Amino acid sequence: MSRKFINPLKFIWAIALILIFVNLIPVFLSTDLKAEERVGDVLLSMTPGNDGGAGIPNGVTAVVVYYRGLDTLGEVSVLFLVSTAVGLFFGREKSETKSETKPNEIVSHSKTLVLPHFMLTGLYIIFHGHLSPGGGFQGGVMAAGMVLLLLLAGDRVKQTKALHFIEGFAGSLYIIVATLGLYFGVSFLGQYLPLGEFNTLLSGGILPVIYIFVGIKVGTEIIGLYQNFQNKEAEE
Amino acid sequence: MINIFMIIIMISMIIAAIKAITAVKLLDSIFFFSFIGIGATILFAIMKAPDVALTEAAVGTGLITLVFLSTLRKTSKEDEHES
Repeated sequence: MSRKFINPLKFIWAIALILIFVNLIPVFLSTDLKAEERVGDVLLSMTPGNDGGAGIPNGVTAVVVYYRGLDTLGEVSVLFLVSTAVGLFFGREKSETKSETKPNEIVSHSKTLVLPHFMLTGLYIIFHGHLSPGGGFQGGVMAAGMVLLLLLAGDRVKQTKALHFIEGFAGSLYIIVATLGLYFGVSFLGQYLPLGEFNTLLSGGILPVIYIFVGIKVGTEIIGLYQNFQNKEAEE
Repeated sequence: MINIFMIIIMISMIIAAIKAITAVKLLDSIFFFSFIGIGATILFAIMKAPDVALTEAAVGTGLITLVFLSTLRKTSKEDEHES
């Protein structure tokens, strides 16, 4: 008697979820609402201005770094926690690094051709985070993709201590820049640098500075994470 | 706003998701998973959310596929040693 018991609650949940989402479909299909009436009306309208606004054209960066700067700080610290956990489980300083399988010849020859473009794209996205789409996270991951390609081609990052130092230094500079707002500005993560001319590279006060630090921290963290990931493999 | 192109991408994403769950080999599963990321990137870019599209392209398509592939390589090597 190995009859499988089928939970009737499953079907009830399935039918209930389908009924809920069928009712929600017209919400996605309706396009009468304008984009600025949907969400963040006040935030989007005050973003380009100087009084209370961030003074930058990119609304997403203004929300992520300026209005919700504490959330970004938490996000960066969560990533730091993940990197620490991976290093705790996988990272061994003494492990010998010998690659068993030789990397593909295409990878080993094309890395020098592709590398500068990866790096340049990542740095462009980081530095123009307050003007064009993208920012610290995306650009950091892209610039780290360059080093991941090097790791795939069999090279290793020798200066791991320098890497960890840069990572922690960028993270603490973020907090220092944010804390200086208590003295010179209004609040934590407040604006105290001159805003500059609208829609140019040197504008936006502390927002590009903070995003550059976020980009450095995310990039170095991902490099260290992936290198720790590969350490165990060489150990066995 | 929702045209035929987007509907095709959505349906293929759903098919890829089902395939990713039911695939026999884990390698196929990872490729179907990264296909979902590519579809989501295109959809975000069409829906005028370039910031989210960049994040999805960098993290969801690139980084996660890389990490999953290296994990698969490590675990399959361990299996060969045991058996």
